[in-house]
Amino acid sequence: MIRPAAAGSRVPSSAAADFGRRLLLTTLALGASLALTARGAEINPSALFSYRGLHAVTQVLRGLWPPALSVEFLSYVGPLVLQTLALSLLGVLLAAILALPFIAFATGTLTHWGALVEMESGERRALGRLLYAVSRTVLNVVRAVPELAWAIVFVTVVGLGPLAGVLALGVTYAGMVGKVIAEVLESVDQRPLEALAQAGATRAQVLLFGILPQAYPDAISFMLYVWDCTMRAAVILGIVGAGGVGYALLVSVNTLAYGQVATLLVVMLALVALTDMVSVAIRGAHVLPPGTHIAARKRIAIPPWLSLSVAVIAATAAASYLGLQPWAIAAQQPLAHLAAWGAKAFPPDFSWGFVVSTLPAVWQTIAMAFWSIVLAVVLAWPLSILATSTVTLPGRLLELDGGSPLRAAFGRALYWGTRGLFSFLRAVPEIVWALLAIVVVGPGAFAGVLALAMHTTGVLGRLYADVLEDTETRPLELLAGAGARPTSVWLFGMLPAALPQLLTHTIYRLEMNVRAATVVGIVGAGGIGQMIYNDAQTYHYHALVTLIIITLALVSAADAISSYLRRLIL
Amino acid sequence: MNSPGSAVVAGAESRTNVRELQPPVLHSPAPVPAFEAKGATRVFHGRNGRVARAVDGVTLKFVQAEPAALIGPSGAGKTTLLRLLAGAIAATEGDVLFEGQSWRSRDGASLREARSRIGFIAQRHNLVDRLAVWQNVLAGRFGHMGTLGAARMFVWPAQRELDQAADALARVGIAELLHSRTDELSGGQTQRVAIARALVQRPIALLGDEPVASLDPEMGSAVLALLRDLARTEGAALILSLHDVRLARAHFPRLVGLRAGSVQFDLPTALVTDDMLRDLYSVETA
Repeated sequence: MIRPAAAGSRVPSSAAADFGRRLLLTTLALGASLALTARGAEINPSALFSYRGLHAVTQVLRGLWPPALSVEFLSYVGPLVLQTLALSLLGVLLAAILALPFIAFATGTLTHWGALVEMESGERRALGRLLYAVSRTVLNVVRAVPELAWAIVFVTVVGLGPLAGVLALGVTYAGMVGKVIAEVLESVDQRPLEALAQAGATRAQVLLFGILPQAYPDAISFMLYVWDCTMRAAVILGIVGAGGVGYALLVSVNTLAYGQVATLLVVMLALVALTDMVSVAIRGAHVLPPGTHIAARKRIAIPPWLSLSVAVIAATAAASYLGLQPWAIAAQQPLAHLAAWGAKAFPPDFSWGFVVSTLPAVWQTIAMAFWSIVLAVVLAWPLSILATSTVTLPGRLLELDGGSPLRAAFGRALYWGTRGLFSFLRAVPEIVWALLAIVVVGPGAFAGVLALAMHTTGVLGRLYADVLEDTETRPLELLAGAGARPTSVWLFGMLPAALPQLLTHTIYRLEMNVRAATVVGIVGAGGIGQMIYNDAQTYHYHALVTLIIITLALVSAADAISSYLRRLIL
Repeated sequence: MNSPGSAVVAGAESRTNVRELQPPVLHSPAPVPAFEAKGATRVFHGRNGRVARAVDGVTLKFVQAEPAALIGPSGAGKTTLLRLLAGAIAATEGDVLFEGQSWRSRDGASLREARSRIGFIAQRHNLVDRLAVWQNVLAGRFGHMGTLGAARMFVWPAQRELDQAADALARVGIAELLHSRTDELSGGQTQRVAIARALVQRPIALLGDEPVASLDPEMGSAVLALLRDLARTEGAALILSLHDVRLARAHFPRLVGLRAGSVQFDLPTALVTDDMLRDLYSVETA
């Protein structure tokens, strides 16, 4: 016990000791967890830093130049690019259509809470609560399974080709669209709605003529953001044979044609960047870090009839390009396929022997996610300081120019170099990094760890730098003015202020990496994805469904743990 | 009374039309009060377990022919009482009756039907900003139509419906705003649109929660006179909450003084003394 009289002198030193103890404990816990999961993640630095590993890296890097630009290759890639574009468009539209029936029931203000339902009887509200719970659960479930896993499932149902890809995109993003649009609907101004209800309007009327007009700009803006996401997904769907440019990439990597890989990477990055630019230009908003979904504050000036007709025209064009007109789909008899598939897949294989046999893969998935995030943090932290404008750009906080134009140019080069590196690292999807990592270190979980770490370094590095740029600069100026070196300013000025936010981003990323770790196995980079792919290839549909359910449980658990940890920090 | 609204009302032709549809409450032998509160209490549960009795054991009757104003300091429970009367929220204890029937016994369609006969005008934020004025006005008809009918009306309004909206707007003096977008209106215009929507409902009661608080005094007085005229010509009950005592005294024959959720007095305006008002608004530190 500290007596009040002594408190003034004791508290600081005990706080310091407490901080030291916590730091030590955290370090120990982290070290122990890394040691514990090292075997699961098949950590093997010598595979990378051996003569063979380094030789493979240089081999790939040298092979990338010159990129394949032959007419033959480009005329092969061109249609695939259009196919990817069509996939992404149909994916958004299908997602919207699939989400539609759930949205109204997933909007709590319409089902069971708030002023609109205050006067309804207990039974009606109980029914509303039930409908709400069911809709939200469905949306969460379809969202938790990664799109590549859905794509594999749909390939087993309707066969190879873009239909499987459209279905995978539609189902995955229906979950996201339903959840976020429902939240947009919940967040509109309730007072005009109460006035409508007071005038005797039904809830359907309140939804259509009170909520939708208010929510329209945010909803359109969010759908553009979703298109951005479906494009990112569409470029890799081809890896599992679900259409798009990803298939060409898989073939080129497997045939060691790195010049083609270079061309395809540029094409993929360009597609994603173009979508991003179009979407941002219409939304009039900057891209926000993942997790913040609604990136629109500007008023969307597109009238509803225009956005509707654009959607219809885009859908028609995309569907006819992919040969997925309604009658063409009907001719493929998808329902008959689904019924036949269901008969083969149900009931899922929950036999003790099979479930136990998945445990090593589940453990490997977790180990991969954990190791990759630690590696990414180790890489992103030091790099992010170089990408912090207040640190490296001349004329800012640290006055790096100091009169010398050479130093100023050096600072600019550092800043734009690291920013560019981060953009590149995160623009290449995890699964593509996995294909490349396998070339270097061979198949297995270690390749998966490296792949996830590369992508995550790009994401986290950029987020860290943004957070550091946003920290209050006044105390830093004082530190710098007192003659502190840049590293000291970073360590003692920026880091403590930004730490909670940095940790929040990192933990959120851990959740995303668990999700990604479940699919990189599809190309042989370890984890449960490998089992998913094998069982799909060998027609073990009972096992396939079980694995999807396990994936779902794994991602949901990561989601729950991550949001618990983030609440703990904030 | 010489008010800007009365001239407009006299010119409106659809008035007779509306009146034919009114239930003949005024002439029934033993009139059922339009609204009746019997020991009505409403409890709100705030954060960290705080409990507020916004309205506490209020017993009151309101009949068609007698306009009344609720007055009292901020937080006296005026808004909550109005919302209880209008069937927007439920009483925690006691009971609130509309046309002799408890709000509690209404649900779903019967709740909407009863609400559709009450015109409610809130202080602000009555309207859906991104719609046209005529759409906001015609929303007053939602109680009489299904969702498809409402959709049809909003996309292809019949001439008859547009006329109805135009007529209601003419009666509140802003006929020219029929096709404006609602978020381009001034505060006074917005309140008039809200009143026009209430008129389209063909209400048997008009309730208003500080309907003139967002208006300048002159405009406020004009809107109050308009509401009184409309209530008289429609034969509708009129209950408003007002924070401006001078306006309440000038326009209303009956004043209900509320303080801390309870009725402090309920008297004809002539009998309300300055002392009583001082007591009502006094800042006590008991």
